[in-house]
Amino acid sequence: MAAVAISACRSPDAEVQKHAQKIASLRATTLSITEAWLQGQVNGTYAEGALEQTFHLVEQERAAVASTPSGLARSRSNALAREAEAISRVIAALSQDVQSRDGVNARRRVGDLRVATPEQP
Amino acid sequence: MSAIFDLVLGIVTSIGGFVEAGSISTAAQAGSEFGFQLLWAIAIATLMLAMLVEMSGRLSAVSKRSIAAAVRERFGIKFQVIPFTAELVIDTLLLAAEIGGAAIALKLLSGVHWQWWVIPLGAMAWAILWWCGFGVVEYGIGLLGLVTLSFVYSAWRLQPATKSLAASLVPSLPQHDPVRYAFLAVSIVGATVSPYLLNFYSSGTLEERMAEEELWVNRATSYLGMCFGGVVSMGVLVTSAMVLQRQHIIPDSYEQAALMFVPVFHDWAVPLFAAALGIGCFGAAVELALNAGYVCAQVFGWSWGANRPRRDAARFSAAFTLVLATALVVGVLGFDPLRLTLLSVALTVAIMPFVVLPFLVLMNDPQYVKKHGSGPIGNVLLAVLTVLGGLLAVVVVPLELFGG
Repeated sequence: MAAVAISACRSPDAEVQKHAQKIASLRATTLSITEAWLQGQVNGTYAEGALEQTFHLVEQERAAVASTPSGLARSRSNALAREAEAISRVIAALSQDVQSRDGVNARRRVGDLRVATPEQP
Repeated sequence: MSAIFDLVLGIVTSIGGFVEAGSISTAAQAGSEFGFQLLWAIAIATLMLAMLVEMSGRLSAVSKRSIAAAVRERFGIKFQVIPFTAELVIDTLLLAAEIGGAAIALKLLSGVHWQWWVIPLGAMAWAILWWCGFGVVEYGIGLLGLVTLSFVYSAWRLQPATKSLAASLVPSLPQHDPVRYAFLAVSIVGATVSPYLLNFYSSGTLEERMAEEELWVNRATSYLGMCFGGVVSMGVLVTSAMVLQRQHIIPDSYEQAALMFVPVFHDWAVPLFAAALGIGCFGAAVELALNAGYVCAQVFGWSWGANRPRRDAARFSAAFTLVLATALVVGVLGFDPLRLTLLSVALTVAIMPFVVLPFLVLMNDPQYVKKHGSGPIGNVLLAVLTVLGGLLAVVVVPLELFGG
């Protein structure tokens, strides 16, 4: 219990690390959903809904990282907020691609997202 | 022959009814964040549940009283008011979460926002409770719930290393984030050992008029059914570890969790996941609403029974209708089902001592169990469970705050 209590007092860095992990997870989710759709393993209805849900989660993380001026002033938090915004933009574009069944554009965006994938925490 | 048939049916439906929103979400998160490492928590929680369920059935078959009625009679209303209020609150929250889970399952298939499905699902649950007997609730939904075996199949197809699985059945310290690890372990216990299951099982024993001579059926059904059900939960954790952890996905939504089926089931992945989630959650919702009616009626001494004509159990029927309506309001307001699940799981752990402690007394009172008391081994295990329940209740709130 003592170990749990001590570990529970998280430093701001640990908090940022947690957000970084979540954002990495949401990026991986976006890739996974789109690839499954491109391979015909999931239909457009699911892909669209799942991307929309992922978009909301990314926005929640972005808001959490950038919730205070002092938090956003930290370079790591700032970079994370920008990364989250970039993922949101890609998800929005991917949703359009899924709606219009534009596999070519979706494949290109997945490629871009994969290239930009930071190392996993 | 009939007893054997009842036994097999009981075991099969226990497996089908085991997995619901709480077990899917906690096991999926545990697997994605810590691999197989938390399998021991499912194993311990399942054994705890099997033990308590067996005692609930034994107490009811011998004393012809449900757990809620026996606690009220033996401890009085001053003690009963705490577990009763807590159980009603948890039942309502969990009911909202389960209906939300079933609604999200329909959203996965249809694309229609989940909140649109809350009222139709609630109406369907109410109609089943109003017009169908206990057999339909217990066996019909339990049999449909066998679709959750798809988690076991996918775990088997992914071929996890047997040695790692076996090693994970022994508790071990995590390599990272101990608070989160402890939170997930406690959540798994809370999601598995739900108080509603105990009273529901106990009331079911009375609905089915189980006799004292059939206690072996009760023992076999509870231990085998619950243990096989625990294997389904383990299937969720293993599949999540093998698929989601490798892709660095931590599921914060059911949409993410559905991806765990893709490598095994391909284009059947989403429909199968939606069916497992939807049927598991809907079945739990019907049982929760029915249990809320049972608890209210048994505590206040009203006539009750799913098989009785509604006019003969009017207050019981009004109670489950009211609880169902309250849960629907929570659902329609748009509270996130996954968060509601985790909240109710934490509350379940917080009241665990009030759930387990009465067993220690009742299972040793010949007025209730006659010669079928717990015995020294049973009492030691119950004492351990009570202490463990107390410890978990103390740590759950800080863990929820810092690890949830």
